[in-house]
Amino acid sequence: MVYVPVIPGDDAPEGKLVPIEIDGRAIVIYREDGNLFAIDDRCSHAGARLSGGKARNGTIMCPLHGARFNLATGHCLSKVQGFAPVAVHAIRERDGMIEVCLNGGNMGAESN
Amino acid sequence: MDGVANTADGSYWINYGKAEPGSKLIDPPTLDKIVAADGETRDVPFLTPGDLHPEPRLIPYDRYFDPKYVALEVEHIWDKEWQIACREEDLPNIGDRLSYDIVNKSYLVVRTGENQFRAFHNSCPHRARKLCDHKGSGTGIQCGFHGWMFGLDGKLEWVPFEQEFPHVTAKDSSLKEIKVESWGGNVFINPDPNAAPLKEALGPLLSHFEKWPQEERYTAMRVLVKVRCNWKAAQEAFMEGYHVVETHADGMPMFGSVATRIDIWSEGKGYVSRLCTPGMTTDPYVSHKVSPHQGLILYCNAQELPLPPDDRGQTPEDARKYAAQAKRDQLQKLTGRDYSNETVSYMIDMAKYFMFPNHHPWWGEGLPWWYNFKPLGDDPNHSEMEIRILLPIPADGKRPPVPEPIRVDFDEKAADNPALGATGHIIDQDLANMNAVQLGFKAAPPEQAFLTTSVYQEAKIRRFHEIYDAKLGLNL
Ligand code: FES
Ligand code: FES
Ligand SMILES: [Fe+2]
Repeated sequence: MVYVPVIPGDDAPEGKLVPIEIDGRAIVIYREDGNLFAIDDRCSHAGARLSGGKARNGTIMCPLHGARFNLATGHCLSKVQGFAPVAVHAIRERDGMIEVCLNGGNMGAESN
Repeated sequence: MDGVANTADGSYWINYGKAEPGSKLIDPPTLDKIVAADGETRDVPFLTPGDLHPEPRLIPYDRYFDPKYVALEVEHIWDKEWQIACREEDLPNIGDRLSYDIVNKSYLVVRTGENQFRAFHNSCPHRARKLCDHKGSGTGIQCGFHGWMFGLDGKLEWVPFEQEFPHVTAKDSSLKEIKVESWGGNVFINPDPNAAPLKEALGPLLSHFEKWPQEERYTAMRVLVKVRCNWKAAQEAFMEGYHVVETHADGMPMFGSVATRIDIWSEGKGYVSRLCTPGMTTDPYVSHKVSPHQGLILYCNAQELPLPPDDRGQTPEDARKYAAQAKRDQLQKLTGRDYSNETVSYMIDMAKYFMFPNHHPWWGEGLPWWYNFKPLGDDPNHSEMEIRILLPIPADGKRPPVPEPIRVDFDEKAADNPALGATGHIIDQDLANMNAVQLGFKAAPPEQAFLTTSVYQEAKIRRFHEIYDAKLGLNL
């Protein structure tokens, strides 16, 4: 479990979805009310980039068909459809840099 | 001129094809810029931009064909929401009545005074016969089965062979009334006894139409079209301008569909939204092939306006100016009303409002239409689109009589009806997609069985489903 510095904290201002890549894995970073989130940039439904969607109140919405996921746990909030969770990753800010620790497994909910 | 032709019937046409596959629009024009170039003070409704911006949303296809939604819609929409049963002019005289049918319910709507309407459940308290089959008139309401008679106020007045019914009283066996309110010359009904007043549902429509009241318009043409698709899908085809590029490609020289502006308001119940497409604006997809002057000729042909002289319409601004003035003159001649103070935008742009669940009134003279969509019976695969052309009442205040509706049955072409003319052509273009959409809903692979909606141009569709999900209690 290693934290890798990815981008300067200033590049992830409040309310902006920031797509990055770590070891070829697409991740989207989001800062809201001072909290940082890192979630795979790939919708578990049909694979659309979540970074093109919208985030609000701790949730992210896929731009393609609109599935919603909890940013902290990765769980799909669209209950009726029951799409799989999206992997989430540990994230922190140190010395002005945002650092992400990739979640080895796939289940977002188990990583936090 | 390349590609310009006079067709056999003498009308002018340009064969410029469609948008080229692969072409991209860079920095397309916006309605605001186009209207600003008219150099006028804007009409009031433009000054109130929408404040809602619907988010991405899961909109599964099953709601368009699964019968379980028909029942949910009756319970949560048709039994609860204000809906238009007719226009006031459909019932010109006191005692005129008609039957408004929605899914498997029916209501009798009757004019009971100069400005008063009432509505009742259209079912006889004796043994159920519908009291009004389609339409009728009279000083009372008499059932066609055993002759029970009710007043226009719904009160039971006479039971033939009365001694057979010692147990029947006017108190128990009068017609059950539902709420009625009018706005804009439209008679709205609401079966919910606890419904909030209509004005809450109307929201911004009240102020936006205040200076241009639809009460002062009359039905010049009425068309009822049966459509082989769900009512929601049918009306969604009229909630964006994005389909013009393909569906109405031959309209691109005169409709700037990519410049369509979308507004959605939270005012009232948040039921109202609008799209506005500039009229007499050449779509950038074809503007390199069609000059403003050519576009203007097409526009004038389509709108039956005098063709422009060679020196008019040389710039996009002048094409709009010419079209608007020609339209002012045309309407003034037709109605005796004065249009000199109306803006270019009011005269030619096409602003269509939407009010949940199914009403689409247009604002302005650009396309003075009126649509309503409803399910046809309880089959989720069938709907009915009602189209009216609403023209201003002549200055002398005399309302022309309402024409009989033109009916276009399943699989008929509207253009085959000579009374419909150019209107029929546009209707056919829109309806050509409908059944194919309905079939496509069922043909989709499960992972794609959701609407994909655009960020901006299709936002009104997402707004509809936000309200729909909330009403039906769907937690998606
Ligand atoms: S791909 Fe994300 S909701 Fe369909
Ligand atoms: S059903 Fe109406 S009078 Fe008998
Ligand atoms: Fe259309």
